[in-house]
Amino acid sequence: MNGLGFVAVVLSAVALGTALTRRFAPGAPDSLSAGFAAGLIALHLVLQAMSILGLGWHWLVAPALGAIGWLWTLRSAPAPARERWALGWGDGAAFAACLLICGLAVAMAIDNPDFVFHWGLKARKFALAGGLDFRFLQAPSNWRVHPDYPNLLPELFAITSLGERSFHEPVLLAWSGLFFAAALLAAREALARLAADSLRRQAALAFIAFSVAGFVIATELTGNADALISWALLLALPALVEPAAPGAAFRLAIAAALAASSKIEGVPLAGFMLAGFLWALVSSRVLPRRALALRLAMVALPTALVVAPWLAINLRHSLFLTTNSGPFSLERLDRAMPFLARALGAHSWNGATAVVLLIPLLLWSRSLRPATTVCVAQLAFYLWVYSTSPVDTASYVQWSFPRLLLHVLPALWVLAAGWHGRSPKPLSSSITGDFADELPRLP
Amino acid sequence: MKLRPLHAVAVALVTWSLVGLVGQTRELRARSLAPGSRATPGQWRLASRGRERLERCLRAALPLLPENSLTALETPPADNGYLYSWVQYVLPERRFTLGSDDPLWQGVSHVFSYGAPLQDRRLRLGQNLGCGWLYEVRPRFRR
Repeated sequence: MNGLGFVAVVLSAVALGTALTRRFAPGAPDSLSAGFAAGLIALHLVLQAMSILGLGWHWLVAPALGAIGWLWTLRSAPAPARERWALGWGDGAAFAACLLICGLAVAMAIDNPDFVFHWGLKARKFALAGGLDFRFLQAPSNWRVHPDYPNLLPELFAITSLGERSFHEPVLLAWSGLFFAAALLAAREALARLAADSLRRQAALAFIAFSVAGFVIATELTGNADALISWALLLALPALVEPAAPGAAFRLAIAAALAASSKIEGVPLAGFMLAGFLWALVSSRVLPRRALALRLAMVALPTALVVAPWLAINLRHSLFLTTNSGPFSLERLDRAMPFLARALGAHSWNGATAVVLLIPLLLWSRSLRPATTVCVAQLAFYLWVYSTSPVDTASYVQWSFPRLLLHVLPALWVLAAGWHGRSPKPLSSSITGDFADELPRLP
Repeated sequence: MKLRPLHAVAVALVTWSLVGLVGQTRELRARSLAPGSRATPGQWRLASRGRERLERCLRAALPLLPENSLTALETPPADNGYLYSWVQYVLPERRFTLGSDDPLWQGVSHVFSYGAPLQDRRLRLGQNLGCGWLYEVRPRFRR
């Protein structure tokens, strides 16, 4: 039956991710969004490792991992109660936006051309090959499918279609609806920590839901991986604002790994997140230097586990594209500027890009500074790419920048909603929560 | 609860974003119904007629293409990258290369010409599949 394979992969990811959260962040409250992301990363690591080892994928891989996770969860202590936020009109608005996006996605009304030109094409080849199809990725004409990109999304499509026993596009496009919902859940959790009052939280959530849904519809964006990057940054926000809170390190670790396994531009974003977290930890002065280094090593581990095999695959099969970057050129940057400004005024964003004007204010706030800096660093990275890529700069910017803004704008909106709000709760004065029990075992 | 100016701004922003969402949804409908809006391979979507036609046509070619064979795709230059992706997508069971990337057809056993027929002495008489012609490369010209 259509959809069963999809449901099996989703439930397996949630079960596995919840188990990982309980194991590595015992003091952290349950987060469906973070747990789901952790499960997806674990699945990605397993599928990638299987391909490297030459083992064929089987649709039962995901349910088997989910079952292990479920059994593991049964044996672990229950998570502490989460800070409750009563449901309100903002949640209703977000739910309605999710339903709209899911409905349009499944009806194949807003599928992105990149589903065929990149993500879905790879998935179809991987599903047939029963793993990453290196011959396909290496083929000279296939530089067009970005063979050097991380493969989380094609893997999810492929393993879902193996479970479905057919490449049923409406079911695969439902993943985009799910990522949209997961990103809104992450935004909701971040707003619960940052925004001062109920009206502001509800309004910010509704605004984010409507603005992103409008952009997804305007640009017909389902079936590609940009929502994953957006979700990763939203997931990281509470940890960047309160780095010593229980579960913060695990959450950041998962967010960085999610970014790095989604798209090539997610790899530097993961680096910025890790650097931002270190900065926030140092500023909070709650950890001694040795504990700081060990905690950062633990936080960086999931990203390293994702990036190392990806790098190895790309280097071994010579998949990196020469058009990714070249020497820095001020002339290119100059050519890009008017188009960058035009992208900020894009009709598809309906003026929601105005939040970039608040960046100086957000940087002024001590608690929001590391998170805002991560957003700014990612935007600066895109400027660097436009200034170095040996391609037609004008069309490159016009074609990509409005979409790349999706990566950072929702996070900036959450931060803007939290700007005038209360300070986050006082930070813990001792090492608690995630990875805490790992520290003594490390050399 | 007292409505402060900041709250009024918040409510105005939500209303603004909702109006934008409604507008984008209406524009989507108008865009997808506009004649010619999904005419070229670069504009096709999964539910487009162009995709359906190409898939039906290439499915007919599947039994004619041996497993592990490599087929070169010859297309009008404007569409070649997009069409190449579509061809691979609708017929993932077979391997393709883009003729313009490799004019010497290295390792190619068949050539699929989208649209117009080809006149090339390296090719055997082709079959009309509806959306294009499928040719076999003569054995002495295979590299």
